[in-house]
Amino acid sequence: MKNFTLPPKFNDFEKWVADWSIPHEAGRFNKRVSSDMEDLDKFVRDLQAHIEAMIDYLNTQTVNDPDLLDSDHRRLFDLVLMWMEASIPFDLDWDVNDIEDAWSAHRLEFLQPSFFPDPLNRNG
Amino acid sequence: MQTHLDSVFQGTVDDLPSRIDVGPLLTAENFAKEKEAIWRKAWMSIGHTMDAPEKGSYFVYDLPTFKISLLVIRGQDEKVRVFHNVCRHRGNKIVREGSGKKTVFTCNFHGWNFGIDGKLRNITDAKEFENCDPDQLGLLEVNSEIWNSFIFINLAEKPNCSLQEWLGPMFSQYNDYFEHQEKVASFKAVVHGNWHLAVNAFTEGYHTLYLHKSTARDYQGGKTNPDRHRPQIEIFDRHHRYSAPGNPDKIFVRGEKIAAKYGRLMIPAFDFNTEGLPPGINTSQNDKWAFDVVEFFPNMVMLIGNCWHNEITYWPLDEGKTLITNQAWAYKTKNLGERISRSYFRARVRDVFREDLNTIEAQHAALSSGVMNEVILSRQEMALRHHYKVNRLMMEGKL
Repeated sequence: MKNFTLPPKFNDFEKWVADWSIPHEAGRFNKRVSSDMEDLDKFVRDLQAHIEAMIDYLNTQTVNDPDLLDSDHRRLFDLVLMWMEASIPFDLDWDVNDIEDAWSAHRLEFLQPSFFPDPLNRNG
Repeated sequence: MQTHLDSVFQGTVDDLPSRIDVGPLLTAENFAKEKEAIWRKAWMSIGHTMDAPEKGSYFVYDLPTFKISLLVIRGQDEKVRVFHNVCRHRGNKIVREGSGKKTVFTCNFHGWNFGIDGKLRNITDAKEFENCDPDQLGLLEVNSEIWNSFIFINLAEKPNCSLQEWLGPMFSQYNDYFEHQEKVASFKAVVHGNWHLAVNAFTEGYHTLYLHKSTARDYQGGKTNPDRHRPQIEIFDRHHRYSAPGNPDKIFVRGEKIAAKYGRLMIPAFDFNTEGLPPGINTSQNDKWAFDVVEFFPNMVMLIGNCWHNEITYWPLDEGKTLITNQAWAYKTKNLGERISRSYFRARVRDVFREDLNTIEAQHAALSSGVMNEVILSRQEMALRHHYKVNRLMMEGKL
Protein backbone atom coordinates (compact mmCIF):
# COMPACT_ATOMS: atom_id res chain seq x y z
CA MET A 1 0.00 0.00 0.00
CA LYS A 2 1.33 3.42 -0.93
CA ASN A 3 2.29 5.79 1.79
CA PHE A 4 1.39 9.46 1.45
CA THR A 5 2.88 10.87 4.63
CA LEU A 6 4.90 14.06 4.90
CA PRO A 7 7.19 15.24 7.71
CA PRO A 8 4.90 15.90 10.71
CA LYS A 9 5.26 19.67 10.46
CA PHE A 10 3.45 19.57 7.13
CA ASN A 11 0.96 16.77 7.58
CA ASP A 12 -1.93 19.16 6.86
CA PHE A 13 -0.89 18.90 3.23
CA GLU A 14 -0.83 15.14 2.95
CA LYS A 15 -4.14 15.29 1.09
CA TRP A 16 -2.21 16.58 -1.92
CA VAL A 17 0.52 13.96 -1.94
CA ALA A 18 -1.21 11.19 -3.88
CA ASP A 19 -1.89 13.29 -6.95
CA TRP A 20 0.54 16.16 -6.72
CA SER A 21 3.83 14.86 -5.33
CA ILE A 22 5.40 13.68 -8.56
CA PRO A 23 9.04 12.64 -8.72
CA HIS A 24 9.73 13.42 -12.38
CA GLU A 25 9.91 16.66 -14.32
CA ALA A 26 7.93 15.11 -17.17
CA GLY A 27 5.22 14.01 -14.76
CA ARG A 28 4.98 17.43 -13.15
CA PHE A 29 4.79 19.13 -16.50
CA ASN A 30 2.09 16.73 -17.69
CA LYS A 31 0.18 17.23 -14.45
CA ARG A 32 0.15 20.97 -15.04
CA VAL A 33 -0.98 20.82 -18.64
CA SER A 34 -3.58 18.13 -17.99
CA SER A 35 -5.17 19.70 -14.91
CA ASP A 36 -7.91 22.24 -15.20
CA MET A 37 -7.23 25.71 -13.88
CA GLU A 38 -9.64 25.31 -10.99
CA ASP A 39 -7.74 22.33 -9.60
CA LEU A 40 -4.40 24.01 -10.18
CA ASP A 41 -5.68 27.09 -8.40
CA LYS A 42 -6.86 25.12 -5.37
CA PHE A 43 -3.49 23.42 -5.06
CA VAL A 44 -1.48 26.60 -5.53
CA ARG A 45 -3.61 28.60 -3.10
CA ASP A 46 -3.55 25.96 -0.38
CA LEU A 47 0.24 25.70 -0.31
CA GLN A 48 1.10 29.27 -1.15
CA ALA A 49 1.50 30.60 2.38
CA HIS A 50 3.59 27.61 3.39
CA ILE A 51 5.85 27.05 0.43
CA GLU A 52 8.77 29.05 1.79
CA ALA A 53 8.48 27.31 5.16
CA MET A 54 8.65 24.02 3.30
CA ILE A 55 11.79 25.06 1.44
CA ASP A 56 13.34 26.42 4.64
CA TYR A 57 12.62 23.09 6.28
CA LEU A 58 14.09 21.12 3.37
CA ASN A 59 17.17 23.31 3.56
CA THR A 60 17.79 22.07 7.09
CA GLN A 61 18.34 18.60 5.68
CA THR A 62 21.98 17.75 5.38
CA VAL A 63 21.73 16.21 1.95
CA ASN A 64 21.80 18.01 -1.38
CA ASP A 65 20.66 14.99 -3.40
CA PRO A 66 16.90 14.34 -3.19
CA ASP A 67 17.51 10.66 -3.87
CA LEU A 68 19.12 10.45 -0.44
CA LEU A 69 16.08 11.82 1.38
CA ASP A 70 13.79 9.53 3.30
CA SER A 71 10.37 8.98 1.75
CA ASP A 72 8.50 11.62 3.75
CA HIS A 73 11.02 14.32 2.91
CA ARG A 74 11.23 13.24 -0.71
CA ARG A 75 7.47 13.56 -1.06
CA LEU A 76 7.64 17.04 0.42
CA PHE A 77 10.44 17.99 -1.98
CA ASP A 78 8.45 16.75 -4.98
CA LEU A 79 5.35 18.53 -3.74
CA VAL A 80 7.25 21.82 -3.61
CA LEU A 81 8.57 21.29 -7.13
CA MET A 82 5.02 20.61 -8.31
CA TRP A 83 3.88 23.83 -6.69
CA MET A 84 6.57 25.77 -8.51
CA GLU A 85 5.43 24.24 -11.78
CA ALA A 86 1.74 24.78 -11.06
CA SER A 87 2.27 28.41 -10.10
CA ILE A 88 3.49 29.39 -13.56
CA PRO A 89 0.13 29.95 -15.32
CA PHE A 90 -1.08 32.18 -12.46
CA ASP A 91 2.14 34.15 -12.14
CA LEU A 92 2.10 34.88 -15.86
CA ASP A 93 -1.62 35.74 -15.97
CA TRP A 94 -2.64 32.94 -18.28
CA ASP A 95 -6.27 31.93 -18.51
CA VAL A 96 -5.26 28.38 -19.28
CA ASN A 97 -2.85 25.78 -17.97
CA ASP A 98 -0.52 25.98 -20.93
CA ILE A 99 0.68 28.51 -23.45
CA GLU A 100 -1.23 28.74 -26.64
CA ASP A 101 0.55 28.45 -29.96
CA ALA A 102 3.43 26.45 -28.58
CA TRP A 103 4.97 23.11 -29.36
CA SER A 104 2.59 20.44 -28.13
CA ALA A 105 3.41 19.15 -24.69
CA HIS A 106 2.89 15.63 -26.00
CA ARG A 107 5.58 16.02 -28.64
CA LEU A 108 8.29 16.98 -26.17
CA GLU A 109 10.23 13.92 -25.09
CA PHE A 110 11.97 14.03 -21.74
CA LEU A 111 15.15 12.00 -21.99
CA GLN A 112 15.94 9.38 -19.43
CA PRO A 113 18.99 9.86 -17.26
CA SER A 114 20.95 7.15 -19.13
CA PHE A 115 24.43 8.46 -19.63
CA PHE A 116 24.04 11.65 -17.70
CA PRO A 117 25.92 11.78 -14.43
CA ASP A 118 23.14 13.56 -12.60
CA PRO A 119 19.72 11.93 -12.25
CA LEU A 120 17.78 13.98 -14.72
CA ASN A 121 14.31 15.40 -14.79
CA ARG A 122 13.66 14.29 -11.27
CA ASN A 123 15.83 16.08 -8.82
CA GLY A 124 15.44 19.71 -9.44
CA MET B 1 16.91 58.99 -21.09
CA GLN B 2 18.28 56.79 -23.85
CA THR B 3 15.40 55.00 -25.55
CA HIS B 4 17.25 53.17 -28.23
CA LEU B 5 20.30 50.98 -28.51
CA ASP B 6 22.35 50.65 -31.68
CA SER B 7 23.95 47.26 -32.01
CA VAL B 8 27.69 47.10 -32.51
CA PHE B 9 28.78 44.64 -35.17
CA GLN B 10 32.17 42.96 -34.97
CA GLY B 11 33.56 41.21 -38.03
CA THR B 12 32.61 41.46 -41.66
CA VAL B 13 28.91 42.17 -42.16
CA ASP B 14 28.87 44.29 -45.32
CA ASP B 15 28.67 41.26 -47.58
CA LEU B 16 25.85 39.56 -45.70
CA PRO B 17 22.65 39.70 -47.76
CA SER B 18 19.40 40.82 -46.16
CA ARG B 19 17.33 38.69 -48.54
CA ILE B 20 17.71 34.93 -48.59
CA ASP B 21 15.98 32.61 -51.00
CA VAL B 22 15.46 29.79 -48.54
CA GLY B 23 13.12 27.64 -50.64
CA PRO B 24 15.82 25.95 -52.74
CA LEU B 25 17.66 24.99 -49.54
CA LEU B 26 14.70 22.92 -48.39
CA THR B 27 14.74 20.32 -51.14
CA ALA B 28 15.85 16.69 -50.85
CA GLU B 29 18.37 17.25 -53.61
CA ASN B 30 19.98 20.14 -51.78
CA PHE B 31 20.04 18.30 -48.49
CA ALA B 32 21.84 15.35 -50.08
CA LYS B 33 24.57 17.78 -51.15
CA GLU B 34 24.65 19.47 -47.74
CA LYS B 35 25.17 16.14 -46.02
CA GLU B 36 28.42 15.64 -47.84
CA ALA B 37 29.61 19.24 -48.12
CA ILE B 38 28.69 20.37 -44.62
CA TRP B 39 27.68 17.65 -42.22
CA ARG B 40 30.42 15.24 -43.19
CA LYS B 41 33.08 17.94 -43.04
CA ALA B 42 32.15 19.98 -39.99
CA TRP B 43 33.37 19.57 -36.46
CA MET B 44 30.26 18.79 -34.42
CA SER B 45 29.60 18.36 -30.72
CA ILE B 46 28.20 15.03 -29.55
CA GLY B 47 28.49 15.33 -25.78
CA HIS B 48 30.85 15.86 -22.92
CA THR B 49 33.80 14.10 -21.40
CA MET B 50 31.83 14.06 -18.14
CA ASP B 51 29.41 11.66 -19.81
CA ALA B 52 32.21 9.09 -19.69
CA PRO B 53 33.71 10.05 -16.33
CA GLU B 54 35.97 7.08 -15.50
CA LYS B 55 38.29 4.68 -17.28
CA GLY B 56 36.03 2.25 -19.13
CA SER B 57 33.00 4.55 -18.96
CA TYR B 58 31.13 4.69 -22.22
CA PHE B 59 28.00 6.00 -23.86
CA VAL B 60 26.23 5.29 -27.11
CA TYR B 61 25.46 8.22 -29.38
CA ASP B 62 23.19 7.47 -32.31
CA LEU B 63 23.65 10.02 -35.06
CA PRO B 64 20.59 9.89 -37.27
CA THR B 65 21.79 12.17 -40.08
CA PHE B 66 24.09 9.43 -41.33
CA LYS B 67 22.24 6.56 -39.64
CA ILE B 68 25.34 5.68 -37.67
CA SER B 69 25.89 4.76 -34.06
CA LEU B 70 28.92 5.95 -32.13
CA LEU B 71 30.49 4.41 -29.06
CA VAL B 72 32.34 6.88 -26.88
CA ILE B 73 34.78 5.30 -24.41
CA ARG B 74 37.25 6.67 -21.88
CA GLY B 75 40.40 4.59 -22.15
CA GLN B 76 42.94 3.42 -19.60
CA ASP B 77 45.01 6.45 -20.56
CA GLU B 78 42.03 8.74 -19.69
CA LYS B 79 41.64 9.71 -23.33
CA VAL B 80 38.05 9.81 -24.56
CA ARG B 81 37.80 8.17 -27.99
CA VAL B 82 34.90 7.89 -30.39
CA PHE B 83 34.35 4.70 -32.38
CA HIS B 84 31.76 3.42 -34.78
CA ASN B 85 29.57 1.17 -32.66
CA VAL B 86 30.04 -1.71 -35.04
CA CYS B 87 31.61 -5.14 -34.60
CA ARG B 88 34.29 -5.67 -37.23
CA HIS B 89 33.13 -9.25 -37.76
CA ARG B 90 29.73 -8.78 -39.41
CA GLY B 91 28.65 -5.29 -38.49
CA ASN B 92 26.49 -5.97 -35.47
CA LYS B 93 25.84 -3.05 -33.10
CA ILE B 94 28.05 -3.78 -30.12
CA VAL B 95 26.27 -1.73 -27.45
CA ARG B 96 22.60 -1.22 -28.16
CA GLU B 97 22.04 1.96 -26.19
CA GLY B 98 22.72 3.85 -22.99
CA SER B 99 25.85 4.13 -20.96
CA GLY B 100 27.88 2.36 -18.32
CA LYS B 101 31.31 1.10 -17.49
CA LYS B 102 33.10 -1.95 -18.88
CA THR B 103 36.56 -3.41 -19.08
CA VAL B 104 35.81 -5.08 -22.39
CA PHE B 105 33.12 -4.75 -25.06
CA THR B 106 31.82 -8.09 -26.27
CA CYS B 107 29.66 -8.44 -29.34
CA ASN B 108 26.70 -10.61 -28.42
CA PHE B 109 26.49 -12.09 -31.93
CA HIS B 110 29.64 -14.25 -32.01
CA GLY B 111 31.54 -13.10 -28.94
CA TRP B 112 34.28 -10.98 -30.50
CA ASN B 113 35.53 -8.57 -27.90
CA PHE B 114 37.27 -5.23 -27.89
CA GLY B 115 39.24 -3.36 -25.24
CA ILE B 116 38.41 0.09 -23.94
CA ASP B 117 41.07 1.39 -26.31
CA GLY B 118 39.06 -0.08 -29.21
CA LYS B 119 41.59 -2.78 -30.02
CA LEU B 120 40.30 -6.23 -30.90
CA ARG B 121 41.13 -8.45 -27.94
CA ASN B 122 39.75 -11.80 -28.96
CA ILE B 123 38.27 -13.61 -31.95
CA THR B 124 36.30 -16.59 -30.81
CA ASP B 125 37.17 -19.84 -32.59
CA ALA B 126 39.92 -17.86 -34.28
CA LYS B 127 41.47 -20.82 -36.12
CA GLU B 128 38.43 -21.04 -38.36
CA PHE B 129 39.13 -17.57 -39.81
CA GLU B 130 41.51 -17.10 -42.70
CA ASN B 131 43.75 -14.08 -43.13
CA CYS B 132 42.42 -12.33 -40.06
CA ASP B 133 44.85 -9.98 -38.34
CA PRO B 134 43.41 -8.79 -35.01
CA ASP B 135 45.71 -5.76 -35.07
CA GLN B 136 43.88 -4.51 -38.14
CA LEU B 137 40.41 -5.18 -36.82
CA GLY B 138 39.98 -2.79 -33.92
CA LEU B 139 36.87 -0.66 -33.67
CA LEU B 140 36.77 1.95 -36.41
CA GLU B 141 37.75 5.25 -34.83
CA VAL B 142 36.07 8.54 -35.67
CA ASN B 143 38.08 11.78 -35.73
CA SER B 144 37.46 13.50 -32.44
CA GLU B 145 38.87 16.37 -30.44
CA ILE B 146 38.06 17.82 -27.05
CA TRP B 147 37.20 21.47 -26.47
CA ASN B 148 36.86 22.24 -22.78
CA SER B 149 34.58 19.34 -21.84
CA PHE B 150 32.92 19.04 -25.27
CA ILE B 151 33.57 16.05 -27.50
CA PHE B 152 33.61 17.14 -31.12
CA ILE B 153 33.68 14.70 -34.01
CA ASN B 154 34.46 15.10 -37.68
CA LEU B 155 33.20 12.45 -40.08
CA ALA B 156 35.55 13.31 -42.92
CA GLU B 157 38.22 10.74 -43.63
CA LYS B 158 40.72 13.53 -43.06
CA PRO B 159 39.36 16.77 -41.56
CA ASN B 160 40.16 19.94 -43.47
CA CYS B 161 41.26 21.70 -40.30
CA SER B 162 41.79 21.20 -36.60
CA LEU B 163 39.04 21.88 -34.08
CA GLN B 164 41.03 24.91 -32.91
CA GLU B 165 41.01 26.37 -36.39
CA TRP B 166 37.34 25.47 -36.79
CA LEU B 167 36.32 27.32 -33.63
CA GLY B 168 38.52 30.32 -34.34
CA PRO B 169 38.96 32.88 -31.57
CA MET B 170 36.35 31.20 -29.39
CA PHE B 171 38.63 28.22 -28.89
CA SER B 172 40.50 29.79 -25.98
CA GLN B 173 37.76 32.03 -24.59
CA TYR B 174 35.74 29.67 -22.39
CA ASN B 175 38.34 28.05 -20.18
CA ASP B 176 37.18 27.05 -16.71
CA TYR B 177 33.51 27.75 -17.39
CA PHE B 178 31.60 24.63 -18.48
CA GLU B 179 33.30 22.38 -15.95
CA HIS B 180 31.58 24.16 -13.07
CA GLN B 181 28.10 23.22 -14.21
CA GLU B 182 26.12 19.99 -14.29
CA LYS B 183 23.45 18.70 -16.59
CA VAL B 184 20.04 19.25 -15.04
CA ALA B 185 17.57 18.44 -17.79
CA SER B 186 17.38 17.12 -21.26
CA PHE B 187 14.59 16.82 -23.74
CA LYS B 188 14.20 16.34 -27.43
CA ALA B 189 11.75 16.96 -30.21
CA VAL B 190 11.51 15.78 -33.79
CA VAL B 191 10.44 18.82 -35.75
CA HIS B 192 8.95 18.64 -39.23
CA GLY B 193 11.16 21.41 -40.50
CA ASN B 194 14.49 21.87 -42.20
CA TRP B 195 17.60 22.19 -40.04
CA HIS B 196 18.35 25.73 -41.24
CA LEU B 197 15.00 26.93 -39.94
CA ALA B 198 15.51 25.00 -36.73
CA VAL B 199 18.86 26.69 -36.10
CA ASN B 200 17.54 30.12 -37.14
CA ALA B 201 14.74 29.87 -34.58
CA PHE B 202 17.27 30.33 -31.78
CA THR B 203 19.78 32.81 -33.19
CA GLU B 204 18.11 36.19 -33.11
CA GLY B 205 16.53 38.25 -30.36
CA TYR B 206 14.06 40.18 -32.49
CA HIS B 207 11.35 37.56 -31.92
CA THR B 208 11.54 37.55 -28.15
CA LEU B 209 9.37 40.62 -27.69
CA TYR B 210 6.53 38.98 -29.58
CA LEU B 211 6.83 35.21 -29.52
CA HIS B 212 7.66 35.04 -25.82
CA LYS B 213 5.23 37.68 -24.62
CA SER B 214 3.35 35.10 -22.54
CA THR B 215 6.25 33.15 -21.10
CA ALA B 216 8.98 35.75 -20.59
CA ARG B 217 7.32 39.04 -21.19
CA ASP B 218 9.83 41.47 -19.70
CA TYR B 219 13.07 39.51 -19.43
CA GLN B 220 14.98 41.53 -22.02
CA GLY B 221 15.19 45.12 -23.16
CA GLY B 222 13.34 47.48 -20.88
CA LYS B 223 12.76 51.22 -21.08
CA THR B 224 16.20 52.03 -22.47
CA ASN B 225 16.14 49.31 -25.09
CA PRO B 226 12.48 48.67 -25.90
CA ASP B 227 13.19 46.91 -29.19
CA ARG B 228 15.64 44.62 -27.46
CA HIS B 229 18.53 45.35 -29.79
CA ARG B 230 21.54 43.17 -29.19
CA PRO B 231 24.39 45.19 -27.63
CA GLN B 232 26.90 43.42 -29.86
CA ILE B 233 26.85 40.84 -32.63
CA GLU B 234 30.17 39.17 -33.48
CA ILE B 235 30.70 37.49 -36.80
CA PHE B 236 33.51 34.95 -37.03
CA ASP B 237 34.57 32.85 -40.02
CA ARG B 238 32.08 30.05 -39.39
CA HIS B 239 30.25 30.94 -36.21
CA HIS B 240 28.69 33.96 -34.55
CA ARG B 241 27.86 35.22 -31.12
CA TYR B 242 25.77 37.93 -29.56
CA SER B 243 24.65 39.12 -26.16
CA ALA B 244 21.08 39.41 -25.01
CA PRO B 245 20.24 42.63 -23.14
CA GLY B 246 18.64 42.18 -19.75
CA ASN B 247 15.83 44.38 -18.53
CA PRO B 248 16.74 46.35 -15.40
CA ASP B 249 13.06 47.19 -14.92
CA LYS B 250 11.86 43.61 -14.96
CA ILE B 251 9.16 42.86 -12.43
CA PHE B 252 9.77 39.57 -10.72
CA VAL B 253 6.71 37.33 -10.47
CA ARG B 254 5.98 35.26 -7.37
CA GLY B 255 7.79 32.12 -8.48
CA GLU B 256 10.83 34.10 -9.56
CA LYS B 257 11.00 35.85 -6.19
CA ILE B 258 10.95 32.53 -4.37
CA ALA B 259 13.50 31.00 -6.73
CA ALA B 260 15.70 34.09 -6.30
CA LYS B 261 15.51 33.81 -2.52
CA TYR B 262 16.79 30.23 -2.49
CA GLY B 263 19.11 30.04 -5.47
CA ARG B 264 20.85 31.89 -8.25
CA LEU B 265 18.97 33.75 -10.93
CA MET B 266 18.74 31.99 -14.26
CA ILE B 267 16.91 32.62 -17.50
CA PRO B 268 14.35 34.30 -17.65
CA ALA B 269 15.45 36.43 -14.66
CA PHE B 270 18.92 37.87 -14.46
CA ASP B 271 21.21 39.53 -11.94
CA PHE B 272 23.65 40.98 -14.54
CA ASN B 273 26.52 39.53 -12.54
CA THR B 274 29.52 38.81 -14.76
CA GLU B 275 32.11 38.32 -12.08
CA GLY B 276 34.62 35.59 -12.80
CA LEU B 277 33.34 34.80 -16.27
CA PRO B 278 35.82 33.92 -19.02
CA PRO B 279 36.67 36.43 -21.78
CA GLY B 280 34.31 34.87 -24.34
CA ILE B 281 31.23 35.83 -22.35
CA ASN B 282 29.64 39.28 -22.56
CA THR B 283 32.48 40.46 -24.75
CA SER B 284 30.97 43.94 -25.12
CA GLN B 285 30.90 44.22 -21.31
CA ASN B 286 27.28 45.30 -21.29
CA ASP B 287 26.27 46.20 -17.74
CA LYS B 288 22.75 44.79 -18.22
CA TRP B 289 24.00 41.59 -19.74
CA ALA B 290 21.58 38.67 -19.59
CA PHE B 291 23.17 35.88 -21.60
CA ASP B 292 25.01 35.13 -24.83
CA VAL B 293 23.83 33.18 -27.83
CA VAL B 294 26.46 31.35 -29.85
CA GLU B 295 25.92 29.39 -33.02
CA PHE B 296 28.50 26.68 -33.55
CA PHE B 297 27.81 26.00 -37.19
CA PRO B 298 26.16 23.72 -38.13
CA ASN B 299 24.85 21.60 -35.29
CA MET B 300 24.77 23.51 -32.01
CA VAL B 301 23.42 26.73 -30.57
CA MET B 302 24.36 27.60 -27.03
CA LEU B 303 22.69 30.05 -24.67
CA ILE B 304 25.33 30.98 -22.12
CA GLY B 305 24.49 32.68 -18.85
CA ASN B 306 26.56 33.42 -15.77
CA CYS B 307 25.71 30.19 -13.93
CA TRP B 308 23.84 28.19 -16.56
CA HIS B 309 23.91 27.31 -20.20
CA ASN B 310 21.68 25.51 -22.65
CA GLU B 311 23.00 23.36 -25.47
CA ILE B 312 20.62 23.00 -28.38
CA THR B 313 21.87 20.35 -30.77
CA TYR B 314 20.52 19.67 -34.24
CA TRP B 315 20.65 16.54 -36.39
CA PRO B 316 18.80 16.64 -39.69
CA LEU B 317 16.82 13.48 -40.36
CA ASP B 318 16.08 14.55 -43.90
CA GLU B 319 15.41 17.81 -45.74
CA GLY B 320 12.19 18.38 -43.83
CA LYS B 321 12.76 16.83 -40.44
CA THR B 322 15.20 17.69 -37.66
CA LEU B 323 15.98 16.13 -34.32
CA ILE B 324 16.52 18.87 -31.75
CA THR B 325 17.92 18.11 -28.33
CA ASN B 326 18.05 20.69 -25.57
CA GLN B 327 20.31 20.06 -22.62
CA ALA B 328 20.11 22.43 -19.70
CA TRP B 329 23.17 22.87 -17.50
CA ALA B 330 23.44 24.88 -14.32
CA TYR B 331 25.54 25.58 -11.26
CA LYS B 332 26.14 22.75 -8.85
CA THR B 333 23.84 23.07 -5.89
CA LYS B 334 24.75 23.09 -2.21
CA ASN B 335 21.30 22.46 -0.77
CA LEU B 336 17.74 21.47 -1.65
CA GLY B 337 16.57 25.07 -1.85
CA GLU B 338 18.99 25.67 -4.69
CA ARG B 339 17.71 22.50 -6.34
CA ILE B 340 14.16 23.81 -6.17
CA SER B 341 15.21 27.22 -7.48
CA ARG B 342 17.10 25.67 -10.36
CA SER B 343 14.17 23.44 -11.19
CA TYR B 344 11.80 26.39 -11.33
CA PHE B 345 13.86 28.28 -13.89
CA ARG B 346 14.27 25.07 -15.87
CA ALA B 347 10.48 24.73 -16.07
CA ARG B 348 10.11 28.36 -17.16
CA VAL B 349 12.61 28.09 -19.99
CA ARG B 350 11.01 24.84 -21.16
CA ASP B 351 7.91 26.78 -22.10
CA VAL B 352 9.98 29.42 -23.88
CA PHE B 353 11.75 26.67 -25.82
CA ARG B 354 8.40 25.18 -26.87
CA GLU B 355 7.37 28.52 -28.33
CA ASP B 356 10.58 28.64 -30.36
CA LEU B 357 9.99 25.13 -31.66
CA ASN B 358 6.53 25.94 -32.81
CA THR B 359 7.54 28.42 -35.50
CA ILE B 360 9.74 25.96 -37.39
CA GLU B 361 7.06 23.71 -38.87
CA ALA B 362 4.87 26.58 -40.02
CA GLN B 363 7.84 28.26 -41.68
CA HIS B 364 8.95 25.07 -43.37
CA ALA B 365 5.51 24.42 -44.81
CA ALA B 366 5.27 27.93 -46.22
CA LEU B 367 8.81 28.29 -47.52
CA SER B 368 8.91 24.88 -49.17
CA SER B 369 5.59 25.56 -50.90
CA GLY B 370 7.15 28.27 -53.02
CA VAL B 371 4.59 30.94 -52.15
CA MET B 372 7.35 33.43 -51.40
CA ASN B 373 10.79 33.66 -52.88
CA GLU B 374 12.87 35.03 -50.07
CA VAL B 375 12.93 35.81 -46.40
CA ILE B 376 13.74 39.35 -45.26
CA LEU B 377 16.32 39.72 -42.52
CA SER B 378 16.85 42.80 -40.37
CA ARG B 379 20.16 43.91 -38.93
CA GLN B 380 19.03 42.31 -35.69
CA GLU B 381 18.92 39.05 -37.64
CA MET B 382 22.52 39.44 -38.81
CA ALA B 383 23.39 36.02 -37.40
CA LEU B 384 20.94 34.43 -39.83
CA ARG B 385 22.46 36.35 -42.71
CA HIS B 386 25.83 34.99 -41.67
CA HIS B 387 24.51 31.46 -41.23
CA TYR B 388 23.51 31.36 -44.88
CA LYS B 389 26.83 32.79 -46.02
CA VAL B 390 28.70 30.07 -44.13
CA ASN B 391 26.36 27.51 -45.63
CA ARG B 392 27.02 28.79 -49.13
CA LEU B 393 30.78 28.88 -48.68
CA MET B 394 30.86 25.34 -47.35
CA MET B 395 28.69 24.14 -50.20
CA GLU B 396 31.13 25.77 -52.61
CA GLY B 397 34.06 24.13 -50.82
CA LYS B 398 35.50 27.51 -49.85
CA LEU B 399 35.37 27.13 -46.07
